[in-house]
Amino acid sequence: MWKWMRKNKKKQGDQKPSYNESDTLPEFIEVLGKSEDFIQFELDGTTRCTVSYLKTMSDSKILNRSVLTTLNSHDLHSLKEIKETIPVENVLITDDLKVIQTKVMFGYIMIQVKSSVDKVLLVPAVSLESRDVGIPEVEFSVVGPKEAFVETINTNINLIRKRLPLPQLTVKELQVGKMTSTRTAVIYIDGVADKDNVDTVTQRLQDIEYDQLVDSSFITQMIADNSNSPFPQLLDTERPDRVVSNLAEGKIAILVDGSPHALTCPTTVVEFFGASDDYYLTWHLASVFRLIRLFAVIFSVLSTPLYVAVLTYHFEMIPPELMATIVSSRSDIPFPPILEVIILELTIELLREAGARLPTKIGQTIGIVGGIVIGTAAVDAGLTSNVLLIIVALSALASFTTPVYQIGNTIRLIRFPFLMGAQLWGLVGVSMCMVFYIGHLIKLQSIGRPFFEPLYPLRFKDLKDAFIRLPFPKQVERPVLMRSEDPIRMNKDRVKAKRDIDE
Amino acid sequence: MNIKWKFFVLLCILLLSAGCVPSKSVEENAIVQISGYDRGGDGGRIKGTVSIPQYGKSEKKTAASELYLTVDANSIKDVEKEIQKQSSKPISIGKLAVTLYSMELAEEGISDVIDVLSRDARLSRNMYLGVVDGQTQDLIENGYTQDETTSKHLQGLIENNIHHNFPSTSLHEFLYAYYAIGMDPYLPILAQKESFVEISGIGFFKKGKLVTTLSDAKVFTFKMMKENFTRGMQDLPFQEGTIMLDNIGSTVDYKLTGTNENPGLEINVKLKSEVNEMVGVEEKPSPQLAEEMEDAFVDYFKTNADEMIELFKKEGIDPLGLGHFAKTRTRHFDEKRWEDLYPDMDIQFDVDVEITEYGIFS
Repeated sequence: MWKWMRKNKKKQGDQKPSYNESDTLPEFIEVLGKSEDFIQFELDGTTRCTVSYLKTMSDSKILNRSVLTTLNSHDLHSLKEIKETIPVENVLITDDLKVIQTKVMFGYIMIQVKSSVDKVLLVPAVSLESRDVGIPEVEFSVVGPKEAFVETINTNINLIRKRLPLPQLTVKELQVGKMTSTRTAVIYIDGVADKDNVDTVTQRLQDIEYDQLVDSSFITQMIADNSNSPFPQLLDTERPDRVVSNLAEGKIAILVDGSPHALTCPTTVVEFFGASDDYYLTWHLASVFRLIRLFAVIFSVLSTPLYVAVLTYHFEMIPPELMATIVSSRSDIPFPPILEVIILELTIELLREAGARLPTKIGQTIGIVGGIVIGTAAVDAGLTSNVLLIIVALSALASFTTPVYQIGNTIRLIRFPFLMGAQLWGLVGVSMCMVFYIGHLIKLQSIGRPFFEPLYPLRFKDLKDAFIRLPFPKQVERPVLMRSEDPIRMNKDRVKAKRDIDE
Repeated sequence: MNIKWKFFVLLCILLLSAGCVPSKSVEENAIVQISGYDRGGDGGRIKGTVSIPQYGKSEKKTAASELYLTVDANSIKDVEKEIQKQSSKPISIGKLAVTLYSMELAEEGISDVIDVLSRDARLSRNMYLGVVDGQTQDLIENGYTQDETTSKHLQGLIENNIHHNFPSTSLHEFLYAYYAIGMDPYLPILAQKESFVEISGIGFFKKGKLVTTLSDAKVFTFKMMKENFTRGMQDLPFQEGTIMLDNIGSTVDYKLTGTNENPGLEINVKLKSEVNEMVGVEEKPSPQLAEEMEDAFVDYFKTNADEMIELFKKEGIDPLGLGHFAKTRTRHFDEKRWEDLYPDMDIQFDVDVEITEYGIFS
């Protein structure tokens, strides 16, 4: 998609952006004047000037207390004089129409005087409505920080900066989206993050040609190396602590105004199965939980395809002890295994969709109604077998263990090609699908870095924080994947030094 | 791009049309778990019997019921074809666990049957083979327990005995011995008593023909000479009563002796055991008594083993795989010469019995 965007951009490269630009200042004011919340009035007191602002975007406290009082109590004649008198920081005088437009649209107060026609004075009085910092809901963790990003970029950067008080923490800001001009920040630690990675991200963000950018997930899709892949190639997280530890590893974070999710890149597929909880527990526990999660995912993807394959083609594989159970529970069902599985999988997907769209309280009821009533009723009615009901329920449960929501969606869907393969060619089909997916994963890249990394290319150094997490003193180096300019995290000798006696 | 798309579409068509394999789910198949072959009557050369477990519709596992089908046919494959005629569901032989042959058939030779078994990729190599003293049909059709199918019962019977007195056996091991140079196969002999089946002995084959059998009492000695094992029991009359030996670890070691022209073999067995039961023995347990028992067992095993080796030599069979062993120790092994030398070969058997305990109370 990204490539396609670029191609298209070349074609319409010289086309004038038709939206947010007017030719002259009066024209701009006229366009704005059509909106009811645009206020413009002239002051006839000691200072004669025109004040215009967007009522819904500007802070009336600043207007009333600082701007209007100053203008009325002083005798000011030029913009320069006004600028010097108004007790607000960052007041600027400009004749650049582009600047005027953006600033006014964000809630700056524009002051014009008769003497200078083109120049205006802009007083920042931005009032931003924002939610308070809340607890993470998608990536909840029992231990560890309970702060999550909110929809305002300033708050989000604040949440990161307070954890990383470093002058090298660099925030580059871009505006993306023709209509929305969304503020997008690229955050990295200068000297730790690889320059090439930073350049790639910035260049790709600049190249985005789209009218609206409402959420960070737009960016994930647009700057992905392969946007046709079901696998997300940028990790999105709502936890500032996770972003900070990623930044410290040499990764790059992208924050989008209006989105409570940060994106980090380059990322690898195993990172999607690591929770921030893993770093808050001792390393052996964390490693076991990670492995459990990994097996849960494999089970979730492969259990129903294996059921179909084994029951349709390879019943030699069923242990004799299970034979009676499976055959007798299957004997009432009028469908072949594949239809049975598809019916039940779709039911579960329906329940999930319904549960996700409804308010939490009703959602829970739906879950119970679906899980218990539909499940047992389906078995009683002879539509599905008991054994399959257990397998499907377990695989649905297992797919919830993924800590990152995006990859959970992927896992929900990639089992269907496996099911097709299992029905058409049995285990051969399942392995063909597997080969296809692994081939795809090997080819995937995250901003030009291999996505399947510690496995392919095999990098032993990065395996110490992949499927298992080794203790912190072993993690002396930053991951090779990041090609960090400063790969050493800490002094190895001092980490190893024994402190037998407390001095 | 265009070429890629064409290729993709072609691949899809190819795969989808190749994927249209007619398939049947488990419950729509007649899963044969045990089959038996007898000498045929008028209808054909052999008579095949299969049992197909019938799983009830209810989840309750009541009495296991089985469907028995018996057909006359001319070959093993023919049996499958004939059974298909009597079955409402397609026959599936992938889960075949036990195959039985009647003694008559085994004496005539089962080489051609073995050939079919060894070729069919659907069959498991863990399958058990057995020789039935009597008619296999009767043995299969006689229900033994309420909650087990015959196949499961017989499978369990052989498997359990492999862990005790009987030397390990399976289709794989049978085929290995059958095709190996200097080795001959053996199979368990099953006999039907009124309401149960028991392993009554061991049958030795020479190139697919049953030539001789050994009774159940001597199987322990044979297993001891054949392989290392850690369980099994052997009884022995001692003084006025009987003592029972519990094996807790037996190791066997073959050694090639003599010259290339005149080879000989040594079989050394070391047996650790415990004696828990002494019926009718008056004497108090003591180290001296243990030594006496050890000597009695050594005598017993030696006589038995020597008899067995003589029998093997006489019949010209080598179920222990001594020739196979010699082949691994001899450069330019001459199979013909070995066979010529075998009947007069000097094969020494030596056993060292050690009774290590008498149980926890003494």
